[in-house]
Amino acid sequence: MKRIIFILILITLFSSLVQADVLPAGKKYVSYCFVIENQNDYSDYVFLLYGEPLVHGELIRPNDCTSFYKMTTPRVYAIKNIDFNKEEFNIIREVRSKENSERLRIYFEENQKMLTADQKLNNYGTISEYDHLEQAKDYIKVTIKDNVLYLKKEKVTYIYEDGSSEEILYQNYFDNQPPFPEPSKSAILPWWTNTALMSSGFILVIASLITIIILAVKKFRK
Amino acid sequence: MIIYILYFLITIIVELPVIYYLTKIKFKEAIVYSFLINSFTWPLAMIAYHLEFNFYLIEVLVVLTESILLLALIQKTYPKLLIAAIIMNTITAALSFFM
Repeated sequence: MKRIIFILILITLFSSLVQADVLPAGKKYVSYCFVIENQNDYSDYVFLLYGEPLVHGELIRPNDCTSFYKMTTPRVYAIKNIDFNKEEFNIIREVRSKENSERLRIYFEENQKMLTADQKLNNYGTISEYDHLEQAKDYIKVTIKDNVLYLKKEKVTYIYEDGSSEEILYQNYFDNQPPFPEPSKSAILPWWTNTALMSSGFILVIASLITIIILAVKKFRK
Repeated sequence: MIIYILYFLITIIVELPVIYYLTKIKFKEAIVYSFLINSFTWPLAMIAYHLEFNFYLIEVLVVLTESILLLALIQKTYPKLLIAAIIMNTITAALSFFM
């Protein structure tokens, strides 16, 4: 008996350790991508995205919305066209081996010609599965100054399941990584749904508990 | 709202045969007890679930609570009722992954 209870407790404790990449129940991922708005202003540069795991130096194309693996917080890198050897780069990034992973890391992180963005990017993350929001599209402006690549999030476009969308500007922020602005349509169900559900749930809980106690006492008296 | 009622009814329907066969009580009693026990644990579990408590912790607490409520109502040996509660909730928890 005690053994069963002990096993139940163990299951609870260890289950929390194996949930890192598992979508929590009742949640959904919001598809995320970003566009560098003024990439054409820096046409003498190639822009790349790199971060471990699974973001192995993706080429960022002007006006394209670039997405990346949900668990990674990659950085944008820029290198001058004349310093960028596409063939050599493709060989490093396409052959997947431990040695090449290290070469790729050195290519980005220890390359004197590579400009590194001042901030990392992150996906939108998860929301309630009852939410309307389907996609978040960030619009970022880049500035290259004194060999540093500065990113500034300008606005985000939220696209909803019904096809509608809205554009929200990022407010002035001091932090390098501003939080995503709150989408205006946050949930399908009206605001009072949870309160109503909770209230009816509590009534049901109390009513059933009272009935169980009455039945148990009756049985005990018999 | 309708989906919640549907899930609640599915939980009762799934747990009913387990209570009936494992505790060997009358079928009518099994219906009443299954309804009462789930009326107590199901809303609380749903609230905990939406407050983002650990899913497995909720399931373990539901198992323990339901086994105690079964003991209060049926008065059989506790290990048997605990096993019944574990089987009932393992099935419903497994179903929840597919729904």
